[in-house]
Amino acid sequence: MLEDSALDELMRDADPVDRLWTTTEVDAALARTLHRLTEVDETPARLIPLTVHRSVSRWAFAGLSAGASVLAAVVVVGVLLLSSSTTAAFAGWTASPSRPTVSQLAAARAVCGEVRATALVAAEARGPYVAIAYTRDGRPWQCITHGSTRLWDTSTQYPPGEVIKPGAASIYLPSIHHAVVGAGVAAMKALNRDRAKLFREKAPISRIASVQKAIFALDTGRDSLTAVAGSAGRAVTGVTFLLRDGTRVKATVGRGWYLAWWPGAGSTSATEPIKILLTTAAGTKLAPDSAAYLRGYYEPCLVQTSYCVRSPAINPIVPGIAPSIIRDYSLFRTQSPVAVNQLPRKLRVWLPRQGVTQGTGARLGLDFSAARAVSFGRLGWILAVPGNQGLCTFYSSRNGGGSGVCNPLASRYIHGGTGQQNGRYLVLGIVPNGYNTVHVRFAEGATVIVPVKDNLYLATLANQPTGVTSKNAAGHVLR
Amino acid sequence: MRVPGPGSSDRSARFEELFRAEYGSVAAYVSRRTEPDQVDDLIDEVFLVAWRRLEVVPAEARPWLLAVARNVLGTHIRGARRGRALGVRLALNYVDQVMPSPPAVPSELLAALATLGEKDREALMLVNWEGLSPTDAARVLGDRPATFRMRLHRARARLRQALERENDPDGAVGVNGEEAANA
Repeated sequence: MLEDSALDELMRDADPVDRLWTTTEVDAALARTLHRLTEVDETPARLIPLTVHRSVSRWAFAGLSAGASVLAAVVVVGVLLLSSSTTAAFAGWTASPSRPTVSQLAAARAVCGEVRATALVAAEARGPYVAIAYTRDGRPWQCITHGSTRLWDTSTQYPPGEVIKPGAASIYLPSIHHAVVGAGVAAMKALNRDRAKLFREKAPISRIASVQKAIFALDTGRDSLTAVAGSAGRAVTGVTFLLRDGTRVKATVGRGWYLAWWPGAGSTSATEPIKILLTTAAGTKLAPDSAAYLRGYYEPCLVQTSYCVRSPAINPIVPGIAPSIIRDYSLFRTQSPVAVNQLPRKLRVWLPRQGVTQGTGARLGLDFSAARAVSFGRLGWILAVPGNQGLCTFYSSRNGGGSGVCNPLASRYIHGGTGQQNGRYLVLGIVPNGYNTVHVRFAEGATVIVPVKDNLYLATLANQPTGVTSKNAAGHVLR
Repeated sequence: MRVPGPGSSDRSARFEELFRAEYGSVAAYVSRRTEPDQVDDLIDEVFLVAWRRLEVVPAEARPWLLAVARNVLGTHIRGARRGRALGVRLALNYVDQVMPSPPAVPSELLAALATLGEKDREALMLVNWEGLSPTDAARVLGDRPATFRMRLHRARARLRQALERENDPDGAVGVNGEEAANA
């Protein structure tokens, strides 16, 4: 006769919904539910004014039989992603700010929560968009609007005593905010949480040293923006951010503040800032700590927290995760860690059974608390687990089968492998940033192209593959 | 969205926090009991109720939300004039529809589960699938904890009997094994 515990075990094995929901899915669900709340007119007006922009198609993990069409789809999506932020989502945005009209400013103050005129510290217009910086409850706030719609806002709380000295010819960059406009709720949540952690650190005033990053997905094709604001020394008359695509975004500077924003976000995007230029009476030159700031921007973000700080005084790297992993695989920055107890139960059971958590895990210094899970729809999940000596990817099918592959650290090659699942061949793995497709070869010379999603690829194939390669835009081939 | 200013912003923030913390539980609960194409609407219904009644949502929100979900599902089923009991039969449909590969679910077990009364079945599902403690599961069903424990005990006994009827003489229940590691 079955014991109670065995009976319960059978029941748990029979769970038809043994899965987890990713941050991205919850974000989307929250946006949908909020929209529904607005439809029934039950949401306070202040919650509503998020404009839901046209969303760009997300990658579908298409079947592999139509390799050519998969490639075509990927190319098209790539173009959309690059162009959406400037042409569709923020039409009319200008790189140089202008002074907002009286009515524009009045609308922005109203939309941002009845901001008093005396609380304003800076305001600017970029085409039809108006951004203001103001103080409330003794804290600086930043808000970006479009007509009667608030696109995004945040509070930027400066560490006590870290106000820039009057007369200094430098700026203090407390933060760079990335916001996904179509998912403002998630964005604000991430920013609020991160900010609390950021300002427990001491950022040296003399260096442009701290960069804040939000942890929500930046590369999923939703409309995104990057906002910067901070204090500027009195000698500073101009601040310009040079973006990777050549755009020069001029900040609004005055009264000890600077303020700017631009469409697009993400450390690998065309709109990442690569230089900061400061203008003083002596002319325009690279900001003294521009390079340090940029190193900070590129430096691997913390795993558990989500901002990047780089300065001699601050070492944010979590021991146990190889910095190159966080740098080269952006999913560890754009996706939130998944709690181990949220993993599908069968995967949780399977990992220790395979010795993953002990033998291999110990050798590679795996940190399961830093694991990221990415859904591939009906195909299942990939769990990516970083360590200080290597990286593992584990596959979990929807019905509980599993497979996995671990590799020691090596410079930029495909971490991946193949296996068998229900008579089909499985290819899965992880590739560094910049590799958007994986080519799977077969013995007879045929090739199929598998799209990469959040650095990961997964496909099931009828025939046994003989090799996997991937090429980035620069033509470098990973084998 | 976190909104500056008093009043509604706190409420919005609380709702958002609740949503993010409990979405997975509500989604799983609903997914286990209805067809995939109904899931999103029903989850929305649950959180709509939560929004309206945010002031009475307890700190331990999950049992409260699942009780709401149970009511919403019940209304949905009645509204659709299906006249069928809520529960495993639908879960079976779900498995058939969304899992193209051979289901890992032992059909004998679900068949046995389907022979139980609705509340008995729900008791087993709440404890094993929703992962609730007996006390929390009792809240979902509106039972006293002692009543619920008795119900759970009885449900296990009935499931055991039903399994013995369903199973082959060896009593083996097949569960798909995991694939070998490729590490």
